[in-house]
Amino acid sequence: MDQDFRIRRPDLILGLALVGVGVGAAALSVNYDIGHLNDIGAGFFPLIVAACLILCGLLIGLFSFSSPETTLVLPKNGVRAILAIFCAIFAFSMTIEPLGLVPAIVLTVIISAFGSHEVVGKHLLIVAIVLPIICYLTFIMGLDLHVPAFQLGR
Amino acid sequence: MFSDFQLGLEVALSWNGLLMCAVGVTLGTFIGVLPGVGVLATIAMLLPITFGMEPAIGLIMLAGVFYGAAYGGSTAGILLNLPGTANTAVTCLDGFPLNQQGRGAMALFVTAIASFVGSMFGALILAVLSHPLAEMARGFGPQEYFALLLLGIIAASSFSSVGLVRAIAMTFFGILIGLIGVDMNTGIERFTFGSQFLYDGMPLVALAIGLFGIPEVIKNLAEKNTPKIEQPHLSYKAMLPKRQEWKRAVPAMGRGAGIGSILGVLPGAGSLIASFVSYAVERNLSKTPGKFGKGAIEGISSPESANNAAIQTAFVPTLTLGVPGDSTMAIVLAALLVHGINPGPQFASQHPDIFWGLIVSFLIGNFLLLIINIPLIGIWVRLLSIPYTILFPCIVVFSCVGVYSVRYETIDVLFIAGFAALGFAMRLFRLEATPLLLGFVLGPMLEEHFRRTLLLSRGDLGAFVSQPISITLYLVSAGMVFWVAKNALVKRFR
Repeated sequence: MDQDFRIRRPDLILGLALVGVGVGAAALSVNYDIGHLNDIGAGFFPLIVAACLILCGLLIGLFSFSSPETTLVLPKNGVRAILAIFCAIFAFSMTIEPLGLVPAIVLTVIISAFGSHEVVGKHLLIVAIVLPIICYLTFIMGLDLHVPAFQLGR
Repeated sequence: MFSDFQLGLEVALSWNGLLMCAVGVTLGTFIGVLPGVGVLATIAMLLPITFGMEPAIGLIMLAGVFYGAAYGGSTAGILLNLPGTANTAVTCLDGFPLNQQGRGAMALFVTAIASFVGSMFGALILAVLSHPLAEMARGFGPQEYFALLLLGIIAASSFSSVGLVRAIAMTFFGILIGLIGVDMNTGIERFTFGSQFLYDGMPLVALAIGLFGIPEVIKNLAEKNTPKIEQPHLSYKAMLPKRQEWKRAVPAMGRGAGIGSILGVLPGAGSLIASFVSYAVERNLSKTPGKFGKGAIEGISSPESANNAAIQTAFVPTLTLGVPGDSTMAIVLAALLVHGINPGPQFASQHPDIFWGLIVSFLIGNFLLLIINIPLIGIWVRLLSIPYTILFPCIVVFSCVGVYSVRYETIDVLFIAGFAALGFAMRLFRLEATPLLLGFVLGPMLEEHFRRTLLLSRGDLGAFVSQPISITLYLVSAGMVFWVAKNALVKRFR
């Protein structure tokens, strides 16, 4: 991956995406009861909102033809950052309950650190040691968060 | 009335009154700084402690946490673009750009002053006008609410810098996300895709942190340059705005306080709409609307003042009508009911010690908050001189812990990732997250008042435009759309 990602005509894609979301929401809303004007059902209001979203999507899509062509650039570092941060968040959600607060934080810190193009070992070590202590004091001691600091399986 | 006020002084200035006021506001400030850790959760935890206190003292402490958190709430928003509440998202719009220009200390100073001005004004309004304001709130029917919510949404979209249609599209998208969950009126699950975790709807904190905070981290990492925030000067001089900035900030605070005091009385979204409307007002009044979103000082001072004023006047419906505006106020109400005190129109005359004690404690509490907050600015800003390789893992961890602490669901943490992906895609496609957040919060209320209006009028759509107040509100909304559309067309065809 040594090239940045490029997307052409982003507004057209955006318009279509919004229309897609709107159509999907409208299709779901129709399944909920629409009701009458004097007693609207669960689907009435979402249907109106979905229709408005479709309209906005169409407008954005149409305007895209009359404006100068633009290209959207996603820098390649972005992919690395996104992957690392998402994996870190995922790791936190997977470990907080079985292992407890401290291991979850250490893991999250280590994984997210790889999102940066430079991983500074000294900094990583500091955060991985100090942050769990701060969080333990703030959240468990101070705010009475009902999570064990350490735990082995559940 | 003067003797009642004197009674209030005695309660609030008693040893216990002062102590609990100080405990409440200090706790509130720190709770407010941590994104996600809710005021609601804190007040709920403190509620049992107040049972053993005198009702006035207990209420003084709970209220202190409530308005103290509003002071601290903007800190993480301005410094890290991590808004913990929907209100703070408005302050982020100009507060975060100011911080990027190395003026975070000044922004925090101005928000502290604006919060103080707004709160004091709100407390005075509460003292003088609680009765007529309660009458006004009572006169607001579903038609008026619907029109007001719509105005809030249009106002938020009209000050977007990416174009009206894009902003409104995001508002509608936000409303759809807000409708996820069980419909309160019919019991039908909407857009849950059968997942039990979505019964109660999407968690607000995960949405706010996912859309604002995490994409900011990813952007900074992707651009390979750790954000260069100029080394902040920590002298008190650097904290003070320039003379020119004072001139713009102070009248904005006044206007914000006025808007906030009035809108705060309305149960529900009072303080949120107040923030958005005051921001829109400032932008429309400004001679340089282009500066908004890039660090306009009016853009932080007015909404902060409005927000805090609204929080004070939000006590009006709770105390004088017995109608709590939101879940936090509901706990305040519960604290009263536990002591066998029924709020109502006679509250101020029947329980002058509580009513006036509370108001005097607001005045004291706000002075305390100013004294606590200004020295803290130096500490908060110093946090920013920490290298980004240390700072960003902390942001990720605080986001996760904060969201998890709201209701102990691991899936909520995954929602952060989902909304972060959405937020990142939205940034790429030049879309703003603020209208989405507003739609998310106001959507369910909008539906509720839409439904009620039709129910009361037996399906007559004409009911929406049958009241003078609602017609006026619609005209203002239409005027805003027209004005923005005209400017956009002029730009396009020139």
